Amino acid sequence: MKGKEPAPELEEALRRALSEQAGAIEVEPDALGLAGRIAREGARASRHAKRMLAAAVVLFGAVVGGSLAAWLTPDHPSRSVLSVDSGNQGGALPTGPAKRSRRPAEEPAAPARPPVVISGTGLGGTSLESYASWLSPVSLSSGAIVSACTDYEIVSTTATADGRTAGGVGVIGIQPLDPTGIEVVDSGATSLGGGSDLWWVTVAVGPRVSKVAVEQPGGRFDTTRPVDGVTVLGGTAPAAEMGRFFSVVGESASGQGLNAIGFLVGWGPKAAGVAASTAPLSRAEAEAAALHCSLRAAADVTSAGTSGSQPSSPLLSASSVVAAFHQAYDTRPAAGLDEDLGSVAHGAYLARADLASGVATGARNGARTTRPKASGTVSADQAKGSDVSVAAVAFVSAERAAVVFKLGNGHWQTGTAVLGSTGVWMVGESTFCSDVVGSSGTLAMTVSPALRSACGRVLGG
Amino acid sequence: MASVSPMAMAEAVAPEGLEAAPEDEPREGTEPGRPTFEQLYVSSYQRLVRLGYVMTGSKEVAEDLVQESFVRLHRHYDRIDAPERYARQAVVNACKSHFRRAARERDRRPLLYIVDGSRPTGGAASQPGDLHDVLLALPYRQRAAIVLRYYLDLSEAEIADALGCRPGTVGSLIHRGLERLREAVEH
Repeated sequence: MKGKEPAPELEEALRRALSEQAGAIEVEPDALGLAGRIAREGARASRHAKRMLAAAVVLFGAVVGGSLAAWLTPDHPSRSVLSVDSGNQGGALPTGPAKRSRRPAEEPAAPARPPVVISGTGLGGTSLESYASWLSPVSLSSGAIVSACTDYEIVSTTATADGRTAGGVGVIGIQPLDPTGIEVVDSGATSLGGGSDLWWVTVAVGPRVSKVAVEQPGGRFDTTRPVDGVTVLGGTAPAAEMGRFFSVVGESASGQGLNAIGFLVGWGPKAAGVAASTAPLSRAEAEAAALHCSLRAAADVTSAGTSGSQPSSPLLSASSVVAAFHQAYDTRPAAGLDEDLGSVAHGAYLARADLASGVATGARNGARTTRPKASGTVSADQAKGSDVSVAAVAFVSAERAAVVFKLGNGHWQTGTAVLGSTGVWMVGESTFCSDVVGSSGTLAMTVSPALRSACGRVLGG
Repeated sequence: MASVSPMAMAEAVAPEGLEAAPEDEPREGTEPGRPTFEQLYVSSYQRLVRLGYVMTGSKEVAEDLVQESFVRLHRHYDRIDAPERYARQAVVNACKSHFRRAARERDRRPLLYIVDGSRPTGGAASQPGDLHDVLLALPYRQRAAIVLRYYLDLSEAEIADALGCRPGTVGSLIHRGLERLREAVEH
């Protein structure tokens, strides 16, 4: 080499300069941005693949069409040439060794898990149907920050009797239950009139449980076999039994009792395994998990094509859902009822109803800071006495999500969030109104009669 | 693992440039110590942005190039034996592509690096920022070789692997680059 050797001090200065320059750069990973890029890239690749497929089909059609026309044409020269010159009795053209494509074969798409559909007839001629139809990346959150994701199944159940239908949505963690485990995913009841109620319960079971029996407080019982770890039972019962414990028993194939639990219809853990999966994560774990969730969701969107099973930015949407629940339920002295109900679907209607109760705005907003005991007639603002914890957001569609949440120290429950016309996620009106109407005894909330009445109309259809 | 050519890296859409994993031997999650894509992204993002920054002189450009590199990495992640090295090489090549694009636009927006002759001379007296400015004025391959050598402390063989050239060429690139740096800071 020519020229002077570089001075060692220059090399040392260079090391120092580079180190100092680089050290001054502080950046945070942009997982959402990356997930968006990957989703766009996937969509672009998908469009490209479709165009190539279309071109191949056209080309194939042209070739086949041309060959067919050639074959049908009498004394076509190429046909003569082949039959005379190929020299093969079979008429097949001689071929060399097959060329190996440099491009590896496309990986087969993961087989979609078929939906679990459970249909049957319960006690009293009840018609039951349950779907475990979504295998969906779910954002778990801690407070208002979405911090992790995992897989959950959304189970929707409907029960019908005497022309009345009841149902709900539950969430089951994909993490398998204990082999003999039983968990109530969701349950509910609706009045059939004449002192009779239609009730149903969706149960998740472990792999060793091959039969599930449910017994009403009055002694009637029914059995069913779980399908893919889920089963649904239901029936009609005297309304007086609804406040008493029902029992569910899991049995082995030989009929041996494996596990038994009691539950109150409409109560209990509606999200099996959720509480155990909300352990706090380190920052790095949370970021990695959030990115994983986004990528999974982005991949699902890409593979799902136009099915629209997920919003385009699931993690962002999940954060929006969580924010809506906090806005609707948290105690924030500075906020007014209008603002709270602004995050509830059709909240303006509920706010107007509450205003019609005649409680002064100042009194309503002032009452928010005190969390009074449930007594007398007070405004809906006082219903915001319990801060909300959102455990899971699972997108049922691009415009609808199932949300696992609890108010204060209450039980975990499943509600819904819907995408509003303005593109902002909101608490489902039936979810909010269920908490308003069913608040007595379960939540530290009291509501104005006008709001309760308005919510009753919402729930009543 | 067969070495990955820089051209294949630049054309990361071409999976044939990568060694395919045996079909019956899924890599992800089976190799102890191998990070998941998400873990690699979170753990190496800042380090790679810093690498991109010392190569390009722009934090925004560096972040963009690193994100783009991870998009490409994501496409082939399961088939890559050494993801950390692949990510580093992808950033190096993304920087190279960036400067190629910039070169095409040079007529419209010339890249001028003016070295102020009145600045203190001598390596020890040079300010870190000055050296970096001079470094950014070097031809890309010389700059990349110097950054990989003096910032990442890579060996000549590793630099040759990253740049797609022979180890002897790396020595020459570094030598010529240092010569130009020395001349710039002494004048």
